[in-house]
Order: sequence, then C-alpha cells, then structure tokens
Amino acid sequence: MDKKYFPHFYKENVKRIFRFFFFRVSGRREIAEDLTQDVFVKAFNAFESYDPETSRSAWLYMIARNHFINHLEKTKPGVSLEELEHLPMGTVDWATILSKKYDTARVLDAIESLPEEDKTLVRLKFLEGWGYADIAEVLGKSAATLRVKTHRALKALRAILKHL
Amino acid sequence: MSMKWTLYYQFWQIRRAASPSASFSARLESDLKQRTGHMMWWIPIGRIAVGLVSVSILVSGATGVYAYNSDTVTLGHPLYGVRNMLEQVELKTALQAKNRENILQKHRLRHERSIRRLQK
Repeated sequence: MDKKYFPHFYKENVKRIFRFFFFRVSGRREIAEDLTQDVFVKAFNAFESYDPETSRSAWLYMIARNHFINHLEKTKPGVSLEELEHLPMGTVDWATILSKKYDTARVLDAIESLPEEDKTLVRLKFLEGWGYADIAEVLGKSAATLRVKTHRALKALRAILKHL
Repeated sequence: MSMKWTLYYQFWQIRRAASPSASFSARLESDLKQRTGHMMWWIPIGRIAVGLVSVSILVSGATGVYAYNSDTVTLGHPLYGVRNMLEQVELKTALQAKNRENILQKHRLRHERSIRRLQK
C-alpha cells in the first residue's frame, strides 16, 4: 500500500499496539513505548507489502507479536510462542500501575482466572481493542465463532466477579 | 447500572489508563513524519476544516448580529446590505400579521434613528 496512507493506518492502530505491549510487559510504559515505536518503524518500512484487502490490522498485530518474541528472546531466553500468548497479567499490581480504583484491578485479576482461550479473547477484544475480524485472522477462527465465544467468556467473567 | 454495563465501563477505564501518553504519540508521529516526507498527510485536515468552518460561522454570526442591531450601520456602510437582508428574512419568516406589524414598527424606529444619525 502507498506510504501516504500510513498516517491513517498509524492513527487507527497506535493505541492497540501500545496496549498489546503494555499488558505483556506488566504495565511498564517505557518498554511498551519503545516496542510500539519499533513496530511502527518496521510497519512503515514494510508498508508497501501491506494489502488491506487480505489483512486488516492483523498484519500489524503479527509484526508486533514477532517483535515481542524477539524482545523476549533477548530478555527472557527460551520463552515459547504459547507462553507468549498466555503471559500472566495477574502477578502485577494493576491498581497502582493504572492509578485506578480497586474495581479495575479486580477486573484484571478476574480476567487472569479465566480459562486460557477466554482470557485471550477478552484481552484482545476488550483490553487491547481489536475487532473480531482482526482476532479471527490472528487466531485462525471465524469471526462469528469468536463473537459467541467472547459472549460466553464475558458471562464467565461476570460470574467470577460476583464471587470475588 | 447492570453488571454488564459496569463491566464495559471498567474495560473502558482500563483501556483509557493503558493508552499511550500524548507526548509519546507526538514524538512517534514526528519521527514517522521525518521518514515519510509527506508532511501534508500528517496535518489533521478534518480538524482544520472543522475549525475553519466553526470560526467562519462565529464570525458571520457576530457580523450579522452587529449589522442587525447597530444604529451605526446606515446607508453607505459595508454591512448595510447584510442588515437589509436580515430585516427582510425576519419579515418574511413572521407567521402572524400582528408579528409582522411589530417587526415593521421596530424596523421603522430603527431607520428613523439611522436617518437622524445621518443628518447629524
């Protein structure tokens, strides 16, 4: 795609990419910012190979994921792709990091106690802000199936929150 | 508020708190700007257009109010045409005959004041 369209693409995705890293680096803003910057520079350099007809924001998500794997290999050698997908968020004091009320941290703790697939869906959809079409492309499932699964995951999350 | 909406609100709060800072976004944008060389594409054209339209609406509104109310807007004044047009619109949009009479009376008094001012 022509690079002149990159600003629009950047604006549409910068928050999602930042959050993608933010939740995976335990809320350390500086690291998330550095990684976000690297991803957008990479995306800019490869933007001519980007085709919005075949891939929406998932193209960028894959760049971010690969970049994060490289980052982890440097900082924590030996981490697997599966581990990356399910990196724990629960060991972090989110209430302090997000400067938010107890309730918000409680939601993040509750997400952490969901089954792996539900946790990933809730995180991608509601915390990072990806659309179903993007998640479908990343996870290799249909958007309709993911919609139903996300609905169930939310139901499970509400049930957990009732008992917390 | 139902639990569902409370949860959505909490998601929104988390997303907001986990957003990149404005200074970081500006820094990154500026870095990418240098790489693109397409400076114009980074100017938020939509925002500029909205700003310009808002300013022109405000300016023309204020001009109209001044032209309509000021006694100094007399024959030969650049806003005299605007004043005449607004008076015509006011007259044509008056639905009842009584209202039209009141408006005509108001216009007449204003024109008399203007004539007195011109005669000074």
